[in-house]
Amino acid sequence: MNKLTRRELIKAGIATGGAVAAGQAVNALAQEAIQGGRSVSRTAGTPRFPVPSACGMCSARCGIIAYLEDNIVVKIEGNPRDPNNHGRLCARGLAGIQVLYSPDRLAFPMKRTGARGEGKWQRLSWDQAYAEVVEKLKAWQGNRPEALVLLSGLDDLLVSRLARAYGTPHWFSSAALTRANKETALNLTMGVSVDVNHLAYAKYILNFGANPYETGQYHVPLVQRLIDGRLSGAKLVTFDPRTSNTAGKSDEWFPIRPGTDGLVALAMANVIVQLGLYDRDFVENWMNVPLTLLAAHLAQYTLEAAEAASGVKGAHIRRIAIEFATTHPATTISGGGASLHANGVQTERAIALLNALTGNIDIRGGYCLPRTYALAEPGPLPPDPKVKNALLVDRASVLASYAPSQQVFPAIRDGRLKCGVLMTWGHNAAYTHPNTSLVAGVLKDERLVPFHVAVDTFLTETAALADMVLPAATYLESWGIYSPPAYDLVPFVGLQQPVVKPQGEAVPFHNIAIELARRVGGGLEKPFAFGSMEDYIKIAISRIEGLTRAGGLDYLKEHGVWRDPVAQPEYRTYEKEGFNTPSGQFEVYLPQLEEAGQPTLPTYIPVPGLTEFYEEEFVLITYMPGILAADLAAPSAWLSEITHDNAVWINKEVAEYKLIRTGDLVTVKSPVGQITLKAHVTQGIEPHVVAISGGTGHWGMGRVARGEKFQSSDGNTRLIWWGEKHGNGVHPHSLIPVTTDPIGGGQAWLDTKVTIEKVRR
Amino acid sequence: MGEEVQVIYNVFHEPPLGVPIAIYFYMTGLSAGSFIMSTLAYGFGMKKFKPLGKIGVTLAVILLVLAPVNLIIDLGQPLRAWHLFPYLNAASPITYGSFLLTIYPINCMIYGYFMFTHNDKLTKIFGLIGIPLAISVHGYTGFILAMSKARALWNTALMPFLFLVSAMVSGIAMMMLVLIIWGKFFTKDRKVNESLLWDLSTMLVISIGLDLFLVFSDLAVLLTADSEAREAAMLILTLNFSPIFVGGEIILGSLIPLLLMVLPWTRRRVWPTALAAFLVMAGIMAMRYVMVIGGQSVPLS
Amino acid sequence: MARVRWGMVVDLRRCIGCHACAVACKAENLTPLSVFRNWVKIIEKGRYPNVSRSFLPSMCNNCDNPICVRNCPTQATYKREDGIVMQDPHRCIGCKYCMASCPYDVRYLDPLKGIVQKCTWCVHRVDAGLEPACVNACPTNALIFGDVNDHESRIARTLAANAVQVLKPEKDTFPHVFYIAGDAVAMRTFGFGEGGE
Ligand SMILES: Nc1nc2c(c(=O)[nH]1)N[C@H]1C(S)=C(S)[C@@H](COP(=O)(O)OP(=O)(O)OC[C@H]3O[C@@H](n4cnc5c(=O)[nH]c(N)nc54)[C@H](O)[C@@H]3O)O[C@H]1N2
Ligand SMILES: Nc1nc2c(c(=O)[nH]1)N[C@H]1C(S)=C(S)[C@@H](COP(=O)(O)OP(=O)(O)OC[C@H]3O[C@@H](n4cnc5c(=O)[nH]c(N)nc54)[C@H](O)[C@@H]3O)O[C@H]1N2
Ligand code: SF4
Ligand code: SF4
Ligand code: SF4
Ligand code: SF4
Ligand code: SF4
Ligand SMILES: [Mo]
Repeated sequence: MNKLTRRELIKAGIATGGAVAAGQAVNALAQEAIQGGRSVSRTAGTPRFPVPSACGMCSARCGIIAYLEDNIVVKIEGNPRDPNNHGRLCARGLAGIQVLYSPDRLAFPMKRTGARGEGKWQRLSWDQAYAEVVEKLKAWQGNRPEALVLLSGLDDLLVSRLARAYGTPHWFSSAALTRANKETALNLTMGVSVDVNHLAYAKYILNFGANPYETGQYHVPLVQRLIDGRLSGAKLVTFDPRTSNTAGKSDEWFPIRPGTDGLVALAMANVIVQLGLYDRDFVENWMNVPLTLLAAHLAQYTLEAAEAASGVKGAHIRRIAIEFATTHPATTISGGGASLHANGVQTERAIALLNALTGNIDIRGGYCLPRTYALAEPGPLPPDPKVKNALLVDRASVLASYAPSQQVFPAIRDGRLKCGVLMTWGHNAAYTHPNTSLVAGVLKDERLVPFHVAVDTFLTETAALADMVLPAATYLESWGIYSPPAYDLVPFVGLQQPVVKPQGEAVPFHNIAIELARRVGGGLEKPFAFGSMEDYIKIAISRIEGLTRAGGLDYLKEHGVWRDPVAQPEYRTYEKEGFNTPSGQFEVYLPQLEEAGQPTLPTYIPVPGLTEFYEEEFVLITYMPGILAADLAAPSAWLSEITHDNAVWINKEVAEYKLIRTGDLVTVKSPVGQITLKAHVTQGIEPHVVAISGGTGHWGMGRVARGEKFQSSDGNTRLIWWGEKHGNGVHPHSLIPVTTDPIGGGQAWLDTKVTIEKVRR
Repeated sequence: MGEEVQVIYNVFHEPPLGVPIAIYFYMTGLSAGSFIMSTLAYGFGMKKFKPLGKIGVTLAVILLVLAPVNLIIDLGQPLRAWHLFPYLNAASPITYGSFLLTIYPINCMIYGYFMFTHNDKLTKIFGLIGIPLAISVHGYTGFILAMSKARALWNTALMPFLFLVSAMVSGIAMMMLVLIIWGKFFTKDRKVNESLLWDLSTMLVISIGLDLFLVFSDLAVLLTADSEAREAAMLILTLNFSPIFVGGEIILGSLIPLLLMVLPWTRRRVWPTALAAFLVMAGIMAMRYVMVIGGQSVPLS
Repeated sequence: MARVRWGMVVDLRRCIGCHACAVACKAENLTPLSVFRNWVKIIEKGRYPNVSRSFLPSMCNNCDNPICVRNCPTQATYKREDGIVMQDPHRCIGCKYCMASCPYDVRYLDPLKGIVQKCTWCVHRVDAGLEPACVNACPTNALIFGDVNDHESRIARTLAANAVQVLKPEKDTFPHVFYIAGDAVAMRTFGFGEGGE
């Protein structure tokens, strides 16, 4: 690079970045390439060595560049070439370095010597560890492979392959805890797993239960464009029982009673149809139900009914429906708040319907279908297991995108699922599942779970109860290949490559799977014969001609991402070969639900118990504070320092009536458990609702996660101040019973009835 | 504006000036006060106050050696204290303080040396030189607070003057106590020089009056100034610091001693006066604490 | 050509209160725990159901008339020609008078080194022609850094095109962190201690 003077470089970097006056929808970051991609040492000012990769702190997989000084990662920044995050990261992406170098990481394989959970361990070599696991796996492989139960987390590329190759249907993903209901609804309706909201060009954004300012499956890519869209004049309307950061900054926020979003959406659909504000072309050509039949069905969803159940005034619902239908282009966004209920699938179907009715499907600024590259899987693919998944017996759940992970432990306890060997791969069930006391009870019971291997980076609450722990490497030390939904609607591929050698004796998840398959043998090794992970990735990207021409894996190693340089976004892609559904259309009517005893048209099913409120009853909703993640954030001191404890939100009037002030201790009781924590009295929550954040209250995961200061070579560890001053929070999950959406199989996190009482000092 | 507001997240850094600084202010105040008391006789020839001469200068020197120790231990880099001289900053009150904290004790020792060697002429000269030094060695500490725009409680022209009056009040009170203890325990006839004591007591009453007036006018202006100033005033009048300010500094430290020294049945009695002097000294320590720590307790962000 | 005078704009229409700037700063400058060069103040206001939230990222304003520099007894903190108020770690004696003087609480005593530190707009990056770390990280491009004296620069054009405010203008420090669409309530100081969620 020629020697630009300091001012020219910053000016040029900025000048091309361009979005100056409000209203200019130019994505300020698209031309950032010249600016990003460089970092200098804090002391010597000398350039640092960049290694592009992908963030592993959440499902968005933003492109990162890890900067090294003498082979030590000193900084993580965004990769400006990544078309989704444009070189920008969120707090967790930046803090990944503290997960990599965490003093609380597991350093070597261990086997318990005391009772489960007693915390007495004996170090093993990897060979010893493999040998014991292989012996246990071989014991069941022949006669009852379905006795192997596998729970996997974010990085489960090869874990499902291992399960199928072994012959067990009992593979469960943590994704089921979150995306099951929405994915099932979208899959049945449009044949896709996610809606890509093209917010930078939208003029109206209707938000049911998403919190993009803090969380979201594709947090940075989505919120970046939400802001660009808002600065170009888009209106943001949010339905959420509490004032999340998103609700607090929306143009209009409507506090809604939990589990009633579907009814509000259907009432809006009814208004749109009755006033004839629908898009005639899409409704007549692309919906698999005649408008007359749909209109008759929707007529039951009156504004009065919606107001009575949701608490949102009918007049508001009507006005917002008209605004949404008459402002183009528009799109909904929806998150955990809408789908994590017992009626989650129906709710998401109703929300999707709103976009279809108004002709906003797959248009510029609308509710688009995901653009991704299909990544090939190296053969030979393992056959599907002969035995059916014990938890997918009733008809409805056959349609679910995921098997219900939250039902694993109740099923083992009740004998519906016989477990011989349990393997948890980066899935901290004892902390992230509902009804944690039940989970812990089962995990400790050697009759129910004869042998449990935990593969994780930390001694999590789950690993602490295991028989054997295998140290897993983090995403910064392992391979991965992803094609996340492109938020600029041109597909791309992102590479996750090791930026440093694994720390201690940690081994990447995938390599543990490959090694186990090889050592167990008996056919298990065949689907893993592709060699190393690099070989796997070469095969995975082999069908993408442009990338192969550009240099394939070598190109990705150097740049981190590849996107077809000439491709332009296309719209209404369904017009070519229709939707990926049986009818090729947007399936408002789902005949397959008939035999499963579920309504075939988008229908509002009141969540049992949430329609009437006795004097002392509230609905408990849980949420994830922006700075934390379910688990991977707690070991980072930078993140925990900002958010380390929680409280139960109580509406101010309700609190005054119960003589509760902020800071008072309150006992929250549900049908399955009770906890005591501080109260946070606020104007910003619906009076029938109380809210508690997740992500804190760790009793495992190491000293930083527990807010405990300790001596170490890093002076900072003795400066951990929040444990003593505020405590490290109270985990709400023991309050939440296992309840499942009958169609999607997803956990209903937000339907729990509780009582709250002030603790008399 | 009655808007319902709640701070969800914010960051407050540790108050920079801690208790050692309050103690430092207290000690320099006492030292300046006792020095000036000692010069009443040896500098201004007021024979009556001669007994205070030697005690005054010894206490002034001891306190002036102890006071800076508080400063040095409070430094993040104590071994770099010498930087204050070569890298001086003419715009910073601390620079002036550094030089004063070296010149003033030297002068005190010379003044004390000539006093103990009965060279009245030189004692007078160095006594008179010492007076502006004593006033400025304590006055500058007032400027430290006054010239910090950040803190509403400090940023007032009254601060140096308030500090000096507090120095006089605590200095006189200490002298009274010293006189009483000296009289009761260290003299052959166990008798206190009562006439000197009553003179000091009158001076104390006047000084306390002046002090209260300054505090009153300071608060009156604060309460009517901008919201930050009003909050600072409310902090010490009604909220967390009110026990120390209203209870400690005002009631116990000023009003009760005033009554003890004025009411007929306690006036001009040794033990009530001793109690009054003791309460005044405690009250001025409370004032230093409230001013330093209280001043930094109104959030800046 | 006019002298370079660096400045920072915080566009509160774009800020989502996500703390990424604060974490980026800790990562770039290894700021110890318990102290902060920058942070994001979050407030909630209004009565149910008209409740809203505001965010206010705060950092050293690198003022044109910095009280901290005027009051530092050893000139360990000094203002560079381009406006950045620097800290000389070898000269600072840790007397903390600069912390007592700054109206914005943006200075801290480094608990591991016993000297005072502050945001210096990532001067090691700026001198290498890069943006400060928080600007580089902000997911919604709410932070803009550049030379306010250069009319073609993005920051100059942004300042020309938008009404801006600074924190506590009445203190006459002439701060050079400019806020667009600031919420008066969030910019006010009040209350004692944090509410917490
Ligand atoms: N920073 C951060 N980002 C994350 C994560 C994280 O932990 N931290 N986790 C990642 C993961 S695993 C996931 S699944 C996504 C989840 O992210 P989202 O899908 O956005 O879901 P949440 O943030 O859990 O909840 C969104 C909002 O729903 C509201 N809500 C609760 N009940 C209801 C209701 O009945 N109706 C309505 N309308 N709203 C309701 C809650 O108050 C909350 O503000 O985020 C991902 N991104
Ligand atoms: N109350 C309530 N609870 C919830 C939710 C809610 O909204 N409300 N959300 C639910 C949701 S959406 C989810 S997704 C779950 C959390 O779903 P999970 O995916 O289980 O979340 P984590 O436990 O953070 O997953 C990371 C786990 O893998 C380990 N690990 C460490 N490094 C790596 C790595 O490099 N790769 C992989 N794969 N793993 C690694 C971590 O130690 C941790 O145990 O939480 C659920 N819990
Ligand atoms: S949104 Fe944040 S945590 Fe998720 S991948 Fe992007 S930078 Fe990482
Ligand atoms: S990183 Fe950007 S959006 Fe996030 S809090 Fe900081 S300034 Fe606001
Ligand atoms: S904000 Fe404070 S520390 Fe920064 S330059 Fe201004 S007065 Fe100095
Ligand atoms: S702490 Fe350091 S920078 Fe601050 S005033 Fe003292 S010597 Fe100057
Ligand atoms: S400019 Fe640099 S030092 Fe200042 S707050 Fe941003 S990251 Fe921190
Ligand atoms: Mo999730």
